[in-house]
Amino acid sequence: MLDIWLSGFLGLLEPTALTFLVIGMFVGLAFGAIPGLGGTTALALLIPITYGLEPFAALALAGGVMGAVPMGGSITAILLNTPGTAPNAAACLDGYPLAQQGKGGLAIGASASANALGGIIGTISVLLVIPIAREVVLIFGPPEFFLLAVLGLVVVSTTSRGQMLRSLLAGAFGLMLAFVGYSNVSGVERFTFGNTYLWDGIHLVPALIGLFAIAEMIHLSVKGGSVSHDSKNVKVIGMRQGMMETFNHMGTVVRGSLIGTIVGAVPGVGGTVASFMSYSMTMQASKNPDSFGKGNIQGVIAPEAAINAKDGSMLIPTLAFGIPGSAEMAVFLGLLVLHGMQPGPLMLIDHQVEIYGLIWALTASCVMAAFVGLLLVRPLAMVTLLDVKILVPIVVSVAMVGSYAVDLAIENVILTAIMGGIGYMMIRYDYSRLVLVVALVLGPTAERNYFQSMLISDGSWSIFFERIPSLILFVITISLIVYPIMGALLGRRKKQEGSGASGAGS
Amino acid sequence: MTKLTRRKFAALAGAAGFTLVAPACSRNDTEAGYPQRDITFIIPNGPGGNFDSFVRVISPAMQKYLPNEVNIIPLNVPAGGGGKGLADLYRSRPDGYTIGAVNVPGAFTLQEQMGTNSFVLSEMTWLSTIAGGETYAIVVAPDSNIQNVDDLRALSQQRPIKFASTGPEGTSYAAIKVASEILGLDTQIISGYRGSSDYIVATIRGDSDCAVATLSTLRSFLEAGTVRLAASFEPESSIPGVPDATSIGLPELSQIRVERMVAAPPGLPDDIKQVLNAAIDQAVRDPDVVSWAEEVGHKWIPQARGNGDTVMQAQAAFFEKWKSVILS
Repeated sequence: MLDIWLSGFLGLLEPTALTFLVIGMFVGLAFGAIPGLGGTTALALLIPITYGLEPFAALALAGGVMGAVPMGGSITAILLNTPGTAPNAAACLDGYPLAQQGKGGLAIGASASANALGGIIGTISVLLVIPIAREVVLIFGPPEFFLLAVLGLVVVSTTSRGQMLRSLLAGAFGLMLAFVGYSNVSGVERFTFGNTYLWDGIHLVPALIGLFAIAEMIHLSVKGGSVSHDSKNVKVIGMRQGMMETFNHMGTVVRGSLIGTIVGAVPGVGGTVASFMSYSMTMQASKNPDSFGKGNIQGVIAPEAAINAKDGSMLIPTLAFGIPGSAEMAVFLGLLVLHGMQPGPLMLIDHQVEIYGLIWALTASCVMAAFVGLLLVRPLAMVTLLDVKILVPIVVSVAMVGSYAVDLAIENVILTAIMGGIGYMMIRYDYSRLVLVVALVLGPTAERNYFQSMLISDGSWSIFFERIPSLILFVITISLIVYPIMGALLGRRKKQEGSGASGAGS
Repeated sequence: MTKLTRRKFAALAGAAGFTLVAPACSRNDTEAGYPQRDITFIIPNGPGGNFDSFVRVISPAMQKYLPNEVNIIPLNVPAGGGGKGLADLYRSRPDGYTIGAVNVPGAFTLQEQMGTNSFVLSEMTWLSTIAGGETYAIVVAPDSNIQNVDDLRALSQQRPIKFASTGPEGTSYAAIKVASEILGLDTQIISGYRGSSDYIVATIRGDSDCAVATLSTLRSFLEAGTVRLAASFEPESSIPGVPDATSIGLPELSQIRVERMVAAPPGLPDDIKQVLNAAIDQAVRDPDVVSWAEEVGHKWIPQARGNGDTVMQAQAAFFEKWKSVILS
């Protein structure tokens, strides 16, 4: 085993592979930063270039792109509240408030080190899991996926304290949006109004761009000024401080990485859920959860660690069985096939050196991208000082173009505009966009897997309790619902007892 | 104001006349020599999907065999489950600069669902298939009690047999419906899986009794011993020990095939059609392409040049015959 790991690593050190790794890293960083593009588009564009290359060089290129995209995306998420890719939207929640406080450098520094550390921890986890990859993939079937989706929804909705009703409303709205489109379990079109575009449902990336980027730009335009309120702090870059912050919160990093690794291995649930779940669980575990959403550095560290960890584990179902965990993985599959490597049970046997080379490439790119991000922190943070009059038109045009670029469909731009309006309303009236997004992502997964589970079990709900993994998930979900209620009830009783005693004493 | 001199008038008239005539000139490519610029190859799937690799391997090969040096650029249009790509292809100008990949019989089901406002398959220009089509096989988990078709029939008497599949708009769903009808099985389809690998793994896991897939898709699983075949719909089984359509006594099963067609918009001129068919034909036999197919394990049998119309007629007849079963 060790010698194959080593061969994989040494293969990367060859000049061709190394060159393509670095090229891929820069491409990934750039594509990740521009909203709407991202790893999927980058890989799709690079596939023809890889055609004549040796498989190892092609994999180095792919690993370079995939490892760097999250870092690129986090930069725009933090500085402009515009997630470069869907999973980066979680970093907007605290990263952008930090930028507004003039601490953009701090946030990017923390994001960079979280990226690097998360990637490394993710790699270690994947290396440990690969020998049992097949068994892992076989454990998770429709009942488990359904319960995971429900768990994800419960996690994010129970963490919005004091705003339970608004979160539930946002989540319900997200679910409503999620069910638009063609259902491929029942073969029925819902709310498509005969429109081909809506056949695929509400397209996630354009919706996210609208909800976060456009909404924020509207908000900024109404407010005026610039992103950062405090120009003094921007000059005093907290880069090193940001890096160190991550080491102060290693628990958050490890938790985020583990969540990323586990969620990433489940096909179809993906990076967005991994990052939002990591954010929510960190908020719940925190001593002052109310500081989240206002510039708590942990709110940047948690999701960014998760995103990079998920990159490695997404390879597990992709390589073990040829089941792509995300659109990016689907393109990557195509790249593998183009180079004569058929993903499937044989892949893990016949192409071990290449696979480990890929994993090394992913990790190396992740760390390198973090360094490059750190180097660019100073000039990048200056963006937050730009006046709204300059910033808004640029961001809106780039965001709209990015939205169009996702599917080359003008309807995407219309969707982005509409979601932008909705997002602005949500900012104004303090509704959680996080819950809406998670509901939008998890809704289809939950529904499809529920119906499949019912078909498998002939309509019996016992299927959710028969298998050990689903039983475990069920118990976790129930306890997450019950625990806060119990805590609130006990707290109230203590207060009553306390005031009763003091009342009697006075 | 300057006078409109005769010279100026003539110049203006010439310019106006030229702008009217110029577009017609560019359409006359066969005289100038088709192709004159890059050709778009529409793929109605996402990148990395089923048909995607085929097109991406064929395109550089086709470029070698075109009369002029131009690029063939694959363009993914996955929206609408592939419907948008087909609609775009249908509405493009029949000038030979847009061609597309069409998965049949899946495209027929899509046409039924989307209505003929989007595209009409019978009107498109059919070029050739990319190598031969493939038949299906019934795959089961290695520890399954189902050994052959008789076991399936016996099980079907007790309860509906569960097949795992992609959605109703897909080819595997149609294949299961037709095969069940021919074999006389009572089946229930657990649909909505996200691809052939997904539903094959579902069968291994035990979500379903079996599934259908092409032999190319199954190769990796078979060699690793993670699945077993209960039957193959080939006329003659290529895998020892597995019954085929002939030995089961139902040769009709071998008519259930997935074909990878290359098509062009309606009304493509014949001479451009010839050029494209020649390029596809030679590309399919190109040594680089053949060795790629071998490496990946695709059954690669080049077909007669320009067989598009013949194959589509057979496919259309097949779909017409089984339409009520497939759409039920």
